Amino acid sequence: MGTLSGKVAIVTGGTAGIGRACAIAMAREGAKLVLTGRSAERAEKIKPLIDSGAAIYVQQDTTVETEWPKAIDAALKAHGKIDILVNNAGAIAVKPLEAMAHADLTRMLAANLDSVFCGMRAVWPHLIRNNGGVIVNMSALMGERTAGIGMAYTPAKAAQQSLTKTAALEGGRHNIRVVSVLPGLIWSDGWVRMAGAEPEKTKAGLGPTIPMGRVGETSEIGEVVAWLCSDDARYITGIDIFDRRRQSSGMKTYVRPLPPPYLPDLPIFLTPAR
Amino acid sequence: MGVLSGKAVILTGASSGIGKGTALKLAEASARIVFTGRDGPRSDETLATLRAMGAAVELVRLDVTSEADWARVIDTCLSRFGRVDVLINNAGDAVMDRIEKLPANAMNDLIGVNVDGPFLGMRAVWPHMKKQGGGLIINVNSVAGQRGNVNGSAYCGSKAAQLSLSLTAAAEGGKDNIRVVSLHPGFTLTEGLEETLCTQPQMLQPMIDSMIPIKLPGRPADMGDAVVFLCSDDARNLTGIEINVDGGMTAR
Repeated sequence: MGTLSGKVAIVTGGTAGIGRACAIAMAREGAKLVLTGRSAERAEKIKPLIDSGAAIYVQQDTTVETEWPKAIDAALKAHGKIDILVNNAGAIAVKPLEAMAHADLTRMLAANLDSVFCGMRAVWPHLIRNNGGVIVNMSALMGERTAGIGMAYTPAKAAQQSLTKTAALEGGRHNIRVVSVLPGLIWSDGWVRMAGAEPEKTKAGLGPTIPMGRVGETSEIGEVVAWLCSDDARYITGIDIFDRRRQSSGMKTYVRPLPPPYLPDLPIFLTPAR
Repeated sequence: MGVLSGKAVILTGASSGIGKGTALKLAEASARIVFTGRDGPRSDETLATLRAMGAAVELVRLDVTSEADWARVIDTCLSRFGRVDVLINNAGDAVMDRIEKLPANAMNDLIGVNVDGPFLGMRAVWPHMKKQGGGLIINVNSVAGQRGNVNGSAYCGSKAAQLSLSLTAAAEGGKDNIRVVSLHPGFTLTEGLEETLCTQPQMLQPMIDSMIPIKLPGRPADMGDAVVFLCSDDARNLTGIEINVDGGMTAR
């Protein structure tokens, strides 16, 4: 009996990289999955999950609102309800500003912000009817800390994190938890593609930039997401789970705005010195 | 057989509250535990409860600001269990009042328990974890360590210092495979707080509704479940993070 037994989850971009790792970890904990991806041939990559009966595949462009009923209907038809949405699908464009077109920003906002909004909007009434649920939105360390080469990607992820926190505030009264996960340097399919002719050498070379001395694996994000979706994380919402291995050794100057107080100014919160 | 079977854990401040809730969850997950507590009778009660659950457990007296006491705690863990996999610096203290009303030694006292304590604990356990090939340290902080609050000058200040200590230790710990995580509970209904609030129960729910998106107070068991996950192998790649278990309180 897994921690997600009886739960029904939609994972977008679930056929590759971190999305597939989430699917594998969640299936291991007993979840029934609807995995979405852009093209039918991608479904080949998750054949074992489909063959085992743990998952079904739905072709979907997450950035288009009218494509969402496909995923929702598939989940309802197969399992009668939706408990979890993992908005994992996204896209990255890395180039200097002078090489970037306005269309790049539009594309990044569509892939990393519109898709998450449309997904939350689509499942929200079903989660309310279900008396609660969990939404995990995949952001990135760059969404929090910025990086000089992510002119369009970084603000899109930052906006997505703001969306996540706002949804968490709204979701509280419906028992809907909403959480951001911020992977750092995780050896996903995207990294393998960017890593050049000798990816293993590139991977080893990146290790020393991280306090733990190595690049992370997708399964290590998948297992965190599976835990966040479980009842063991029942009091966690509206937060960013950082994979901050990289930055914790680096130098970073930032100004923190004054956040609201965490407790009201009431006499019951006075604790006299002993 | 639980997910923490075979792991030896040192947990401070487990006579009540979040520490006790954590101890119960650790025992459920089959961890072996050395815990410390300030309150004698309550500590004995925790010990009896854990033993009744079939846990391998030892209770040691500890003044977290005493280096000699720390050496004793670690010796106990090593001699009883042969290793030390996890240190949970949970013991802490709070003094809340207006800055002009706090006694002059308030900051010093809280720095002692909330900063010197975790520092000495990490310092004492570090060489053993290093020799073993790695380990995990969880420093129990508070949302108070991430933001300022009325009446919290000494408490928030000490917890912010503790957070910085945790993040620095995480950066240093990488090469020794020692993970360091800062856990931030929000408004958690511990036995102590429940007693205080019982005098004004009509104030409680409206306050929770306005403060906490999830509209429930935290419970020690909620923190315990988060700790069990952090101690498990599934969390092997998490270090240098602040994890808030606060029902969305800090999302505002």
